[in-house]
Amino acid sequence: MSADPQPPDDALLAMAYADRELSGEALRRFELRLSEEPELARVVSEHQRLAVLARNARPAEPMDLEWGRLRRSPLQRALRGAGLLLITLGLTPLSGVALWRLMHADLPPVLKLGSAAALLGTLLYFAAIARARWRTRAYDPYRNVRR
Amino acid sequence: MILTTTETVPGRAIESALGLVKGNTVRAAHAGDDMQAWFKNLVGGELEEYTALLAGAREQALDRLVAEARARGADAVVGLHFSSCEIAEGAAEFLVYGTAVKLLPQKPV
Repeated sequence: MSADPQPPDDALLAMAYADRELSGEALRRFELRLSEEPELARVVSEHQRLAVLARNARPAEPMDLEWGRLRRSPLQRALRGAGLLLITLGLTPLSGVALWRLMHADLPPVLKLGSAAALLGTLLYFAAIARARWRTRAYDPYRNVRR
Repeated sequence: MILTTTETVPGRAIESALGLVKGNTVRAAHAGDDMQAWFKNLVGGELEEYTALLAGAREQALDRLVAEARARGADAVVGLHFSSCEIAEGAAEFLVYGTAVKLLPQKPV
C-alpha cells in the first residue's frame, strides 16, 4: 500500500499562506510571487474560500432542508425557468422596438447620433465592468458565504 | 489571533496596545439577486440573497482587520465592534474595528 502523494510545494505554500502561517522572508517572497503568478493567486483564493466556509460551518436549520428540496423540485425549477424565459422574450422585442422608434423618430441627426453613442457607450461600459467581475470572481473567497 | 468584543482577554494580561485596527468592505448583490429579493418582498420571509451579501461582507471585513492586526505583530484584537450601513441600494458596507494588543506570555500551569 503506497502513501498518499504529497501535494506539490506550491500547494503547501498556498495553504500555509491562506492559514497565515508564513512569516518573514518566506512571506515576502511568496507575496512577490503572488503579484506575478495569477494561477498561484487563484490557488490561494480557493484555500481562503474553504477556510471562510469552514469557520462559518454550523448545523443546518430546518428551513435549509426545505430550501434544498425546493431547489431540486422540478415544478419550482420549471416555474422559475419559464418566468425568466418569458420576461426575456417579452423585454427583447420591446427594447428593439424602442430603439427602432428612436432611430426613426423626427429628431435632429445630432440627437439620434447622441442617443446611439450613449447606448453603445453604456453597453461597452457594462461589458468592461462585467469582464472585470468575471476575471476577479475566481479570486473572491467570500462569494459562497451564506449567512 | 484572539478576537474579542470585551476590553480584555479573560485569563490573559495585555502587555501593550498597538493601536486601532479596522477592516471594511462594500459588496453589491447582482441584478438576479435583487430581482429575487424584490419578489420575496411581496410575500415576506428571509431575503437569503441579502443575508449572504451581508455575511460575505462581514467575513471580508473581519479578514482585513485580522490581516492588519497580524501585520502589527498583535496577539489579539479587543473591543471588537461591527458596524454596517448602506452606501448604495443593494450594496452593503461592513466595518469592523478594534484595538490590537500584544499579550504577555501565558504562565505555565
